[in-house]
Amino acid sequence: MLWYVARRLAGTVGLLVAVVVATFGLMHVAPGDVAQVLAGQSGDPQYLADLREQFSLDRSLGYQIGAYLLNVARGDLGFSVVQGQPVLDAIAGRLPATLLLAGTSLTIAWAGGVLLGVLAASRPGSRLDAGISIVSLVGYSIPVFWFGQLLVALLAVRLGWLPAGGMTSAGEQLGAFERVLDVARHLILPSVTLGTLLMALVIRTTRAAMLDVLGDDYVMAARGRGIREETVLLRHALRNALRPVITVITAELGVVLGVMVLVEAVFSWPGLGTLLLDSVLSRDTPTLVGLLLFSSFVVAAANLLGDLLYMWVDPRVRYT
Amino acid sequence: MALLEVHDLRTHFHTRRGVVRAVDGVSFSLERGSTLGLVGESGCGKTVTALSIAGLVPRPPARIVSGGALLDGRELTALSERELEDVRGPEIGMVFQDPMSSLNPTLTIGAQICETLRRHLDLSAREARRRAVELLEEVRLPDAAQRLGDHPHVLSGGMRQRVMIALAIACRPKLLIADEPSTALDVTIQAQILDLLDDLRRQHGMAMILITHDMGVVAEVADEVAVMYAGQIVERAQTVELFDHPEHPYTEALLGALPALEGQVRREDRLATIPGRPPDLADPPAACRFAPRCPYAGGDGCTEAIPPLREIRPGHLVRSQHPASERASQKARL
Amino acid sequence: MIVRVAAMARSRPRLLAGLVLLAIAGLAALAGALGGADPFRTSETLLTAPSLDHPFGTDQLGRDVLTRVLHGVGTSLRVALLSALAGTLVATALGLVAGYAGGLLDDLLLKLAEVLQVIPAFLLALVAAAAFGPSLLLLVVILAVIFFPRTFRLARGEAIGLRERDFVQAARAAGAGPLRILRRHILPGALTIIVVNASFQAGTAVLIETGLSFLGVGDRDAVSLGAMLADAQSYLAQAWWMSLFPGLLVSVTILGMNLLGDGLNELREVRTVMPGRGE
Repeated sequence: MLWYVARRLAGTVGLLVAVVVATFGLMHVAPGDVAQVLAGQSGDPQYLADLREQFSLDRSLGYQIGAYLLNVARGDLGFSVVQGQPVLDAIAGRLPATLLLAGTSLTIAWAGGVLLGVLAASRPGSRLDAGISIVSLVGYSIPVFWFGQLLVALLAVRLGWLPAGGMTSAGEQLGAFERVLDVARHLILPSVTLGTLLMALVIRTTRAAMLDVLGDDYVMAARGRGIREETVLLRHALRNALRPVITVITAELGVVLGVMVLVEAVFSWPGLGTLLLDSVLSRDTPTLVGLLLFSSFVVAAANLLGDLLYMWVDPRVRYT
Repeated sequence: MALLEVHDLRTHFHTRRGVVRAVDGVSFSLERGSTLGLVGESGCGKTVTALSIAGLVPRPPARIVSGGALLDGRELTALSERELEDVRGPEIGMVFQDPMSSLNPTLTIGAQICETLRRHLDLSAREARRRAVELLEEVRLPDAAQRLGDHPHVLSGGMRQRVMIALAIACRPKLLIADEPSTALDVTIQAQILDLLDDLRRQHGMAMILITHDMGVVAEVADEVAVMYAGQIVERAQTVELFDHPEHPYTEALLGALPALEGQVRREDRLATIPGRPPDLADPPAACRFAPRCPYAGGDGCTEAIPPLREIRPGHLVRSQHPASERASQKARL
Repeated sequence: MIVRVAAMARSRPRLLAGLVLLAIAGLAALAGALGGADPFRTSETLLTAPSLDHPFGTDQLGRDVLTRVLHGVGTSLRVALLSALAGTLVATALGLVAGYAGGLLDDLLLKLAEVLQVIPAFLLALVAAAAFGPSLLLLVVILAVIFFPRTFRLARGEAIGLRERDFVQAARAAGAGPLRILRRHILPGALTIIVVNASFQAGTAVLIETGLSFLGVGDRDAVSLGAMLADAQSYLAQAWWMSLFPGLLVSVTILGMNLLGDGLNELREVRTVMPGRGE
């Protein structure tokens, strides 16, 4: 079993190295040389020279890749003139806000999604099942930012129940507890918007996986022993249905990063998404590259996590 | 009063093709402690019969349209799902055909046995584990204590089937339904499993319904045999009586298709196969369902109506217009 | 004929619903293309609510929202169909070949697919669109690249599964060359699942295209529903119709594609209904 973990770990590291190399390749191919990409908006010739030095751009290609890998490993993703700070710091600064939004949305999505998926599968063909399936299908088909817009238009603008955007209310001096509440109020609409989309995916996968598993022989055998239906569903069926569910749950970490831009744009949420948008519009290439690398790392880590979860859930995997 | 009384059971499936009458008028009774062999080829409805008794047929698309099963005087088809969950385990135990797929691959053996025990009996975790080991020893599983922590995929087919049997008898049911318990196993293991079942049955005074397509198995273990064809019982008698004096043409063919056992006189020089295939059970015609394959089928009662199940000798029922004894006397008259 | 449709509606609601919705989208696009109205024409009547003159109202520049919506649907459909087609063709061909042949080519392509899959799709699209300039053609290429891993793996998986089957072995024994085997034996088996996948990817393509133009990196020359929604963002309080109608139409289009995929998937699955019959 340890062997399996070690293998997966090595695989992930290899993948990350490949991503870094690919990113380097992208920069190489883009107009201008790598130093210019890394310098971004800075026109300072001295800075360019320094960069060329740091990234060994006068040496052979292999050396350059190696130097870039080393720099990334050290945490040096370059300096963003637009942000006025090292790229890594800029990312780190915006990270908490995105983590908060992502974390809340994913929790809603995973918990609600698995629950509703199991519920729908427990009564296939019923009106409950049809209702849940339709809701999840629609949630999966509506652009997340339009959904957000609708919620804002209805709940914030028309009814005024919740704030229309931002993470905090401007210009107020609040105590610590009030600040938490304030952020919480601002968190509701964006996390519901994003959470609904993510939940739809989980519902679909869970329901399909459960229906598949519920046809298996051991489920009937368990019922044949008089095990209560709830127990059959949760303890017997769900455990075996978890494999594709884990796949989609970990995949959503990647989806979240991709979609975050759109959600943060609609709600003016000050996270990595808005940072990305700013970088795109201001041609802040070092930050762009940094964000690409960062999100790829997160996705790779999520996949690894998923594989480890498989092991925990399905004992047969441990022995491959 | 008989332990189990199945009366005119009819289970129909509503599919896209039409209504499939998988079980169409099955009746039999089972006394405490005795074994009934339910025989027939695949697709004849024997498994659906068993599942209908235990309330395990998926409804929808299946429906028990009429008839039922009385267990100790209690009508099983009238019970709610909740009530059935209390019956299965303590009163009815089931052994399924494929041991490879009938055990949950993600739970340990111990977890699955203890779950069953604690569900129906009031046991602590420790007591349940102890009982689980006892059960595994009863089914002659070596290294019983170690096995509790194993997952199913580590065990061989024969061992898994023993675990299944342990699970089935865990709560000492009155009725054990074994659906092709040895079919998926090696020939050498088959006999062991059948012996085990028979011993356990005798030890605990259980009644057993043994479902199989193999007449040889039935000859060894069953007290009474019911032969099923196309959703109906076509012959029923005590085992020895059936083997010595089979009446229904289908039963004769089944016995003729049996490889000769040691010491028996061979009926044919080659294995007789039965030509043709069972009928499509979606909207079957109101006629004898075996007629298309029957060598004796004649225009009279065979194609006009379904022959009734009649008692041709005390304790021997047959559903045919041309049972063997009547054919013999006809021939004699000619 | 009507009886047939009615029967199909009852037994395959998703497929039918998907086709209906896509028909609506298609008709809308046609109406836009053939209608002759100019989606860029500004007027004095700014931000007017839906009326007989302007069934979907007008936007902040006095442009008729209905006309723009119709053209926008056309843009979305064009992008989706082209990218799904291009992506599917290339990825399927490569996937089938890689799966059937195996070896170094397979390993390399698989590695490429893995790396591509690690980068979140929308991010990649955003960065690429920003870097290489937003044109419709480029968008189609980007989307094809994004779709590559999934379709490639799907086709590859099918090829691997099918190449060991008896009828393929028989064909090989009869002396059929690999290309012929791929074309006549492996492709038909994999076809349904590839089409289902393409359907879902078309839906994703619309989502991405709309998202990109919402953020302002879409093609400025084409009318896009996403850009319309971006405009609507500033006028949510006064002009709800600027958000509702574009969003509705794009959702209908995407929903149609997803339903189609679901419906086709249902056709694939044949479940045995009765227990104890799987012998």
